[in-house]
Amino acid sequence: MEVLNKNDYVTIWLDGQLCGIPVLEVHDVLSKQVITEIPLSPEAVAGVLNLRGQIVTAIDLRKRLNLKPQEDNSGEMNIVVEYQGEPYSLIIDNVGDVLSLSDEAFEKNPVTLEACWQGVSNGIYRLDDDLLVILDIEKLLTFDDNRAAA
Amino acid sequence: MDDLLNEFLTETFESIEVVDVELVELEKDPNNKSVLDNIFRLVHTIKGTCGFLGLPRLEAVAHSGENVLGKFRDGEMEVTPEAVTLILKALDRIKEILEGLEQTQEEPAGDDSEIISQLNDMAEGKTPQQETADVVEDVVEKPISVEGERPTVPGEVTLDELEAAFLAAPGPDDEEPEEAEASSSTNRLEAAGGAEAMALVSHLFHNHISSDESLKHLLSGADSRNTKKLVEDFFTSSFEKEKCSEDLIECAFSSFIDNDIAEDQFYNTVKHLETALEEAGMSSQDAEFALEIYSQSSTKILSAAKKQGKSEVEVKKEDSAKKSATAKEGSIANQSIRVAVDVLDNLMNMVSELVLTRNQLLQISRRAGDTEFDIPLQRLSQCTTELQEGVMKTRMQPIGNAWSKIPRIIRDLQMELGKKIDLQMLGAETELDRQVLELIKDPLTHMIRNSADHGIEKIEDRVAAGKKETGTIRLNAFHEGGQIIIEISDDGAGLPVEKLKAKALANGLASEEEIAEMSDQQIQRFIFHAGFSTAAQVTSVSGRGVGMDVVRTNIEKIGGTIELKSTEGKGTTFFIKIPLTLAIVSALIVKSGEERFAIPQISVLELVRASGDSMHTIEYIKDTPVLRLRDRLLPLLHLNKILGFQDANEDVVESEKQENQDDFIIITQVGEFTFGIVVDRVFDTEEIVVKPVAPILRDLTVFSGNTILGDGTVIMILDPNGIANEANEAMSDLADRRAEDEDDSLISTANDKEAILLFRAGGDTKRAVPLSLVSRLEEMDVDKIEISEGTKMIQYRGKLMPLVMINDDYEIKSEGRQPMLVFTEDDKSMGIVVDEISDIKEDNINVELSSKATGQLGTAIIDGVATEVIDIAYYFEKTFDNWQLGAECSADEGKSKRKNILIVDDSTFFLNLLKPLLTASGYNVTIASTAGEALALREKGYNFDLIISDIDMPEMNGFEFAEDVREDGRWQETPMVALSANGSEKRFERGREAGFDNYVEKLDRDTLLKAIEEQIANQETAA
Repeated sequence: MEVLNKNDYVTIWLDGQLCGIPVLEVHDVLSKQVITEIPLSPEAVAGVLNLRGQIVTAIDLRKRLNLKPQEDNSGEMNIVVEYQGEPYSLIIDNVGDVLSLSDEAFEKNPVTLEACWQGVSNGIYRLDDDLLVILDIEKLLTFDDNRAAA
Repeated sequence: MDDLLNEFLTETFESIEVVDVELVELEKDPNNKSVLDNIFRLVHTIKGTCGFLGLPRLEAVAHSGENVLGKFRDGEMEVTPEAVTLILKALDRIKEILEGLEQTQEEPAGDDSEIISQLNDMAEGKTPQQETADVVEDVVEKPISVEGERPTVPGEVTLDELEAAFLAAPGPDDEEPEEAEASSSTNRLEAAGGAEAMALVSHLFHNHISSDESLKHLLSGADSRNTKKLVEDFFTSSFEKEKCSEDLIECAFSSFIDNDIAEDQFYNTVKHLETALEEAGMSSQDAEFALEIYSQSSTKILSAAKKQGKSEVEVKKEDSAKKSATAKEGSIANQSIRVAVDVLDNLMNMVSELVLTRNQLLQISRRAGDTEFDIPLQRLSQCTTELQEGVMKTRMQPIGNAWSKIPRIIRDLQMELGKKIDLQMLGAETELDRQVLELIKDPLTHMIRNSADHGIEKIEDRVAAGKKETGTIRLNAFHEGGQIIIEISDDGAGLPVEKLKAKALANGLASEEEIAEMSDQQIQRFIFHAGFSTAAQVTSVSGRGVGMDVVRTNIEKIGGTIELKSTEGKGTTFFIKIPLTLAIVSALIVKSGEERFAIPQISVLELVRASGDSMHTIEYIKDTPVLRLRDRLLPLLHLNKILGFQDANEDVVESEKQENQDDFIIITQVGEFTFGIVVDRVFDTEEIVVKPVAPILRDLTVFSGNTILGDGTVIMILDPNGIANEANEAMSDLADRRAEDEDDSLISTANDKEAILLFRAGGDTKRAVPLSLVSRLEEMDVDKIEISEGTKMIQYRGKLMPLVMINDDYEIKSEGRQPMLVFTEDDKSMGIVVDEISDIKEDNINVELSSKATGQLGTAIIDGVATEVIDIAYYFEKTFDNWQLGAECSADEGKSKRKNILIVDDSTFFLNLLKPLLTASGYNVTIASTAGEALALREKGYNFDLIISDIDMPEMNGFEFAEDVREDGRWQETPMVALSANGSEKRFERGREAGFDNYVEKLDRDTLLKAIEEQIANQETAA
């Protein structure tokens, strides 16, 4: 477990909620970037940005999770992940720590959790003073497919 | 050996392609000696090489082919179409074997005796066998005394053959097996003719060298008699020992060493030695050996020469035999090298990136004003540009390469179809990017086939129509405005508009009303749709109904366009426009709203600035903006509106009208349609590298990609094609969208209209089935129907497909063709045999009288007529007993208790379709035809594990129903799945809000089952 860092998570903040992304999936953490908006794109797609010569699609996680936009977004951060060979940047409020967590603290999502969170989360970790929602990259980035299937 | 084989394959494939073309040429002009020589030489090379590589099959076929060609060349036989056909056939066989060779590295097993005997018969046809043998022997044995230039005389031993010989250990020679045996069993020197022969060789060798201007100096300062003797000794001793006498090398070739022989000069001496050996009448086996030892000595000679301190030539420690072999390809070969395409592609990518970085630097420097970087930067810029051009050039190939196969194809088609066709090819030297070339090769070939097969009419038809017997197919390629235009025209029958109309109707691409409104050109464009073939009959050549759509897709994939112009009775012309290269395009940067966008220059015809005081102003027809441009009225599109920066409401139009502001209009052409795009600002042009957009953005058709600009920002590249579609769907190919819609299974519109296929089967009763359930419409010959285990079957796409009668009384026609509807479920297909496919209508299926008869859902009014709606599930069940059983088993596994599901849907048809499906999957199903009915069940205290509800229902729609359920009551926690024919994002969102846990498209059986399983599983974990 230690070797694989499988239970290590980068914690992020979204509208006051603490979330975690598996550390192995994170390629980069960036501060606020210049983003080119894409007209007509799905709501959650904030635009595209240039990361060292590579074009990265930025996803606004607040919009993705139906949260209200941040009033002051100057402090927003980007977490760059890869999904199906394409880089994506997740725009979040802030980045916290990297935590190593034990399996015992893990729980499934409570059924009552809102549908849009259910859809992107793999479960919850009980921290001492908070709850950490584990986000699933694949689920976060397949919202478009959902639409196609519907 | 593998490398060698690969090299051989590449070369041979190339040679064969050339022979293909040349043979057709020869047929036209049988007296063309040079063409014949060329063919002979190529075939001979193939034969020689494979003989060496131990490929007996190839060798035998090539040998027989060569015999016939030899007869042609010697004028003993006339070049007849039959003979050419036979030789082409032999070449095809060679190709076949080569392909096998390519895959397995081994010669595939097979029997060529038939073709060989045919060829031999042909060769013997007019002259006795004896003579044939003579010819072949002559070819090898006759000593020739031509100096200097390599002769193209028949007796020549070809390069490849020698190359092959070099690399081989002494092996069986294809032409003189007896001698070969002899030489290996007895003393080599004696066999080769003893010391005398060596003296002769040495003498001739020296004479050749001293007569060669470039090599003469190598012998200067040496006593020629002495040298000759020493060289003779070297060969004699080497032949005695059957290996290279290393100790004698420096002695024998001391004058070479003293005179500072360079690598390339040495190779030339090898050539002379080769000639000398031939002239001395040495057998090929011995000549080969002599050359081998000589080339083995090369390393030593060259390094000694270098040691002398005079040579600047680097001696590579390569396999000397191989070196000498390549050397013999002579000066021409030395000027070109083979480079793997990967390497070039990689280079191209790097250069593209370099160009971008250069642009970035230039921009920075421009901003910074005068700096000391300016001058070096300028130089860097210059170099980069030249580098870019240079690399581009390496990838450029004449389009003729893609055409090389066409003459052969046309020739074969003429034979096969009994037509006379004259193929004209113009502009074969037009160059374009290799990548592009590869991509258009197949489409081009396909279109040529089409033109020959269904474009050009049969001779008698042509005569009847008052045309020349010989039809013409013309291929023309040329550059125009940074694009390559390829025209393929024929003077054949043209596209039959009426036939196309009927076909479009039958395929459901357009309704009768739509067709009535279409121009001929629009109708002709239907041939670019899948499953559309105008050939009345499927021939081996074309007419399988796949093709033109693939052609179009392929061409559009590389950013090209295809158009056609056809006049019935006169002919058809296709215009293909393709970009020169794919890697770097020049683009115009424009601004709309707050963002910048790139438009590929290729699609920009001109730029017009419209302002109040200039001659161009935007005028309005009511609210539609147009531009008067040189006596034409162009429709205008506001980019702002297309991209959703502005609402297309009237206020905006009003304000625009009044403002009369400065506007830039980009005149663009998409196909035949010219229009203007109004943008806010135009910046300069920039070279960009098109990068594809992320998958989640692919369905935005207005963008063709994105790129990084010089200043580092990412911008989107606009696709004029997509803009035209987006802005005015009516202008674009209407049926295009239709096809796409079908792909998405969005058959039904909001009010649940769906496409219904009407047909007759048994009697006059009209029957119907939703088109979405039908996977294909087919017509089959009744004699193809086979009976197995009492069931009628047909072989369909390589599988057996059971045929189903609409009822037991139905009788299949005894002869002729029978239409059928093919239904596919998972990987099972069945065909329902019908009398006639009548029509496709859009309507509601509203089963008003449910039926007791098996196989029917009931009767509905469709298109004003009572129509029986058939129950496909029933037929599937009947045909594949295990269809249901299989599903049931898997679904029941691990589930002791069947789950209860409630389906709410107003469409009886869907209820009837879903119920058996879900029952089969192991659920208990309750149905309610309205939301009210469902809520009544709730009041009665029923409990369900899952609720599936339609959205579009009368009285209370699905959203309201879901809200009601979620509000309170016993079903509050029950998972709900929405089911609708209309799957837009908005509705999806709305569904979520209303309380649905999932949203599934009607007809999407797999997703539905998955969703049900998922929801029920979730429910269980929650509990």
